[in-house]
Amino acid sequence: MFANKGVKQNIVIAGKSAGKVVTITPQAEPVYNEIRNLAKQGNYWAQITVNALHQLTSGRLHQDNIFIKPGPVHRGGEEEFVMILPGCKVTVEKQSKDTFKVVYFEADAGYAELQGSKATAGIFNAKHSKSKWTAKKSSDGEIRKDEGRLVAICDSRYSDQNIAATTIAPGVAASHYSPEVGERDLRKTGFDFHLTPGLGRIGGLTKLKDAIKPYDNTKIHQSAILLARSMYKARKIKNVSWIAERGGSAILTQALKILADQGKTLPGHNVFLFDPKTSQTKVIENAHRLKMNVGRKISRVSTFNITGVMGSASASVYRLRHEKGYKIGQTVGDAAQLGALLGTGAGLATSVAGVAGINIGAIAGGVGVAGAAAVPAIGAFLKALSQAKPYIKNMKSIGDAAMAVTESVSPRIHNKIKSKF
Amino acid sequence: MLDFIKYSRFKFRDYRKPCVPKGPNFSSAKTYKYRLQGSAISFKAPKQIHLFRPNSEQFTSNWKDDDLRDLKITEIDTFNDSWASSTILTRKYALFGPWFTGELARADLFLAAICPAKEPKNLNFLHPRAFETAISGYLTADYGCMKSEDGSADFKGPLGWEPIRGFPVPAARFSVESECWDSRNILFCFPVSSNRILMFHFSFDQSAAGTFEEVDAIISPEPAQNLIENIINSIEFSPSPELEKELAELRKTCPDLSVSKDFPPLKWPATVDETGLNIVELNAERRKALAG
Repeated sequence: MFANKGVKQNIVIAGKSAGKVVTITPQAEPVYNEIRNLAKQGNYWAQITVNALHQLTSGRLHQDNIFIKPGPVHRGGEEEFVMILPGCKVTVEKQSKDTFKVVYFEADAGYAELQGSKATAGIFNAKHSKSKWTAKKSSDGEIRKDEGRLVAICDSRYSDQNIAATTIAPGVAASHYSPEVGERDLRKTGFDFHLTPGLGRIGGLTKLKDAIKPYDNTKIHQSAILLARSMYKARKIKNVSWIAERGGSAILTQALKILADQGKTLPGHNVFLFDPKTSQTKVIENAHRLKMNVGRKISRVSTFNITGVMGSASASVYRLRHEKGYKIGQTVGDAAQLGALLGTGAGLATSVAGVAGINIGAIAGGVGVAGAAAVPAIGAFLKALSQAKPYIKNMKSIGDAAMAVTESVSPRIHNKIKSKF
Repeated sequence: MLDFIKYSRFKFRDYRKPCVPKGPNFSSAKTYKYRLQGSAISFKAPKQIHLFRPNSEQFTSNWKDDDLRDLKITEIDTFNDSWASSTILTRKYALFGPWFTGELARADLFLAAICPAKEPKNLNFLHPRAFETAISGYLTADYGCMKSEDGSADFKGPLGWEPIRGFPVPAARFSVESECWDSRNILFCFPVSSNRILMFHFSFDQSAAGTFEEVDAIISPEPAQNLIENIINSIEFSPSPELEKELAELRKTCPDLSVSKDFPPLKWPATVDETGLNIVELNAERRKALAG
């Protein structure tokens, strides 16, 4: 009747026989059990969480492990840190006797149910039929096992999988196929994409912190871990291309970093950045560590993407220092191309300004001539036409400028117009 | 009156409360008339103009008189490219939420004439049984072959099979659904001649997560469904004299040209054989592969 139950002991979850002991407080245990059950049922994201906790036994907690945020150091040398994992945040205490204690397990209750739907990050398969793109979430979080598969890593501004698929398809096509082919082949094969819904744009000038320090964005950690897993699972598929689209480069950077820190390699896989909004150097650095194939061109940058343009130069310098095949000639080539890109921007500004000036001048001149000489209407028209000669000469530059603007503002319209020529 | 301001395409905020989006106005819809292999078809469909909306080219065939001989396998993505199509018209509608919540739902129309890529020699689609066979073959080639990693079929269909009475040729409408593809399709099909089937393929979806019930609770599907319903109700078909003759001949052997009252959902996942008409159950195929 008065059985002495005593104080509940911390429960050992890993490292019983070897390595560092990992314990969990009785308060956090039910949540852990729940997640472990899900993992046993084959939930891939729950497996990531359980494995991450078990890996604490190895004591490998390097400083550069990006999904671990160090917390305050308590008295007695106890250190607290937070691990951000898919569907949960785990607070772990590193105790003075060199053991780990899981103190607090903050699980996202709805994550398991949402996992099947498009509300959480994951790999989606896109398919084109009846003149529209549709997408389906891959239930095991893996890409299609086709050789040479294209996988896009999307920016986080899309609220919907179908919207994401339709918006990024031209970008994916432009990154892999020539402009002449356009979306034709992509429509045939389809593609996969990693979507992180609902976090808004990543990187760029408005979020410069992301752009410079892509590792520090904690919001995208969960997504990056899932992507890292998908990439690892795809390691045996040949010639996969990972194409980061706009802010998706931040997620790709983190995922590559996670894999590289664990000493994995992805030989034969390619990496490409379409209009990256974050540091390109960090992508190249991690891609080299993973032995991935970084092509002659790493990115395709539009004139208006200032972070991308700035990043290209430093990426070029980085490659000159660290890549065997990348010599001064390539650097000069890339610099020239960057110059041309900037030139397009500058030329665009001048031609728009110039055209505006000529336009006004031509009209004023035309009206003036017609008014002064009082020639018949047809004469005035011809006169105006001759006055407008420079205007016509500038048509091409106006056209080019307009196309450049369209390409960066709305790639889709750009492709649509281009398809008419 | 101020609906064009209230329901505009600009998105400045997120909206997570139940709402009814607004699509294009059907009352101002244009009537499209086509003459397909001699028979006249007309229907009403509004047109929305999109400028900065990705993938929203809307195709309008400028061939008003078409013999439907030019078939492509690239427009529809069927199993083994067993079916070919000739696109006549596509429309893409965006449905906008109130007060700068942006595009919340979509509805698409894809109108095409379809036929197996290898045209069958002695099959008359005007016969209701042959028409049904063709529909089941097409649906299996298009939707039935898609399956998840665990082997279950992605799509369910045909659901809500409804024979259309009073149509000069056998006609039916039904839907095909998939929650994992977040895709709901309503199809209205009828044979336009002995070798071509005309397919009005509608699809609609909303920007919300969850099962169809959860999605519908947040963003009402009604505006999209009403729009589709209106287009379907406006479809008129008048057979050419040659087709009339053919139908009269057919009536001698088969007096009732209407399709079956019921059409239970097909057993998927399955694929089709090279004719595109016969359904091959996946187990049978696997057995054959193992034996051979």
